Amino acid sequence: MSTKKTPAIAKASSAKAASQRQSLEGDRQLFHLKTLYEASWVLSIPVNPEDILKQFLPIAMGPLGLVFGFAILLRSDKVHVEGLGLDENTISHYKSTGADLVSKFFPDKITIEPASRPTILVGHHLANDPNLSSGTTSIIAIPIEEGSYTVLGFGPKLSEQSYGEDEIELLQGLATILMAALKKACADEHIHALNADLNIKNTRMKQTLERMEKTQKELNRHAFQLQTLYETSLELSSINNPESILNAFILTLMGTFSYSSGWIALYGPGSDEADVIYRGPDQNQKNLLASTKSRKKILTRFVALKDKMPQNNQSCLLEDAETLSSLPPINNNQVAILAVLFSLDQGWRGAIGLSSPLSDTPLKDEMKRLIKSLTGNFMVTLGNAKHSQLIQNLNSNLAARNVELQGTLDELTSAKQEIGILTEAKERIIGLVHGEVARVWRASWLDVCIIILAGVVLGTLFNYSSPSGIRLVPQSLFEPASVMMDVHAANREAQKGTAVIIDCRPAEFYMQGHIPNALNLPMNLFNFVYSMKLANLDPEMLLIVYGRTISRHYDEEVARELRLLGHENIKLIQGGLAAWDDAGYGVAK
Amino acid sequence: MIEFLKRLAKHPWLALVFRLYIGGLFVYAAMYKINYAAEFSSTIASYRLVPYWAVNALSVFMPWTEIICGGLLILGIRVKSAAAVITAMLTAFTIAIAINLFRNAPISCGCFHTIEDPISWWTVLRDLSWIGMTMHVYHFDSVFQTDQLFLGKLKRIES
Repeated sequence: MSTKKTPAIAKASSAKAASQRQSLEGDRQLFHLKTLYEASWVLSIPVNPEDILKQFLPIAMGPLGLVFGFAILLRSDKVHVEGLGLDENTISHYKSTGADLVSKFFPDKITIEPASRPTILVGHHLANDPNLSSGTTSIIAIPIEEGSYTVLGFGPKLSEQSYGEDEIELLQGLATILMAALKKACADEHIHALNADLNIKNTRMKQTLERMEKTQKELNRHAFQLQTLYETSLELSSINNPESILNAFILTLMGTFSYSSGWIALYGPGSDEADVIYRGPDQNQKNLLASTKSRKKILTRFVALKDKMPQNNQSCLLEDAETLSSLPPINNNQVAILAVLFSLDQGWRGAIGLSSPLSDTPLKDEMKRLIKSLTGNFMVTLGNAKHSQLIQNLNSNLAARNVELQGTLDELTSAKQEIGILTEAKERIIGLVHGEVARVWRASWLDVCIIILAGVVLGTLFNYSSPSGIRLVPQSLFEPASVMMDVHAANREAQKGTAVIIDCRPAEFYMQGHIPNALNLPMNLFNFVYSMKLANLDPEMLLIVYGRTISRHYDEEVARELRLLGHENIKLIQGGLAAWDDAGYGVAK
Repeated sequence: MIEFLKRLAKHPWLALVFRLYIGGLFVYAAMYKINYAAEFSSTIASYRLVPYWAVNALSVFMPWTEIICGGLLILGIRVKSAAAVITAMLTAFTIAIAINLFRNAPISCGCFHTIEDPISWWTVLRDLSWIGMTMHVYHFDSVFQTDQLFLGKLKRIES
């Protein structure tokens, strides 16, 4: 019975012991799980790796009953050491050699895989490692991230026993939790750092945006100013008339800077030279600005501001009330709010006055600069227009002078031609006089011709007008020649007595010699001799007539007269008395 | 004496006398010829030297030429030219007379009137003397010349 009982009891005892072991094992596992839970819970609270390590050491050492523990954290080449159960010297030693120790486990920037796990070394051989504290029984190397590593070391157990399997497993679980906590902490730190950086960048971006907005506004203002300058330049450059430029510019100023009244007065070097433009309700103001009083007021300002405007083509903005009150008013004694004095070449001085702003906002500096820029542009354009006007006036004067000069040249040319003609006439007269003077002292063919011509003309005129005038050409030259007969036939007729021979030559020649029995009948005695000797002659009787010389055809003349008296039978002797004598018929004297 | 005679022969006052004489002579001679052109024509014809178609015209023109030349000599206008023309006419007359003398033509001179003594060598000598006077006038006459008075002023203007 006891034998039967003994196995049973033993069996029961062993079962009980097994149950107790299982219970202890379960308790230990539970304890380990609680430890892991507590570790994961505790380690989830700290936010930086240093605190985690500081929290981890007691959590790991307590359940395992370890004598000491240390943790070396290497981050960005900075070493942080946490120790528990070690003296300060050891901790200081690890602070100085921690980097080397860590580098033994993580040589040359190893690549950390996301699934990397902690490395755990356990054993009594670690106690003899010179780099570790004496008694070190376990080392845990945990890669956190690139450049961040931690190495933990633990001393022996209080029970001086070796690590059990479950304890190593616990240590491994704790290391895993630590690694996750450290990674989380590092990630949190990174996130915090990124957040901080992001915040900084956001702040900077906001500042940049503010500056950009400010710059944009500045740019807009500058663009507006440049646009105003450009449009003003464009508008003014298209105008050549100074008065139109003044008008356009005052309208531009009033429109750009919101003024309801304004004027520009431009005074020349002469007291009567004034160009005034006024834009406002009081049109009498224009006459006032053109007056000598306003001119003196403005020119007095130039004298007062001679230090600010030492040269021509300069402008000066006037803002102080005292200076503005000294300028001519704009509307009903209303003083200008803003005025600009400017000077041009050729002694021209001018002033611009603006009043009655549409807004109460005072002008900013850039607007004042814009006014000065516009005024400068206006001065250039106005100066050019004045120069252009001056050039036009000079050109007009030059053209007028050219016309006068051309007229003078024409007169000179005409006078020169006249002088030339007169000189030529003089030379001709002198030549004529010279010729005439010379001709006085010598006989000239011209004089001879003139004398002969005068004789011909006067003789002809007198001959035609005189009752005793004669034919210039003998009539016998145009009459048919009389019938001729030779001397032999004449001699036969004379011998027969059937003809009468008539000698027509003058009596002196008849007396010298004539045909025998010839009757002398010269023309100068024709009527007398004919009536005496031939009046009763038979008209049918043959009349033989002779007597002609180179100078006169006496026979033709007498024969013509005889024919007029009715004698038709008239014949002339061929060769006359000479032929008769040559024929040997004899000449009577 | 010879020098005196030479100076006397070249004296302008002698030339003036000859000028007035010859001028008056030609004016006088021309007066008759102008009024009796037909008779003068017969005279020219009697010389038998001029073609018959030119005789009448010559008898009309020649007296007027003579009277113009004579008048110019008297007035002292264009003396040399007038003297040259008169010299030419006198030379022509002298040659014509000489030719007719050689012809033994029974004609009168016809210098002043139609009816004159027949031409003779005296007539030739007379004409030669007139030619000499005229040439003297041509060479030495210098006083009382009308155109000289006028043209002398013009010469002063010219200078």
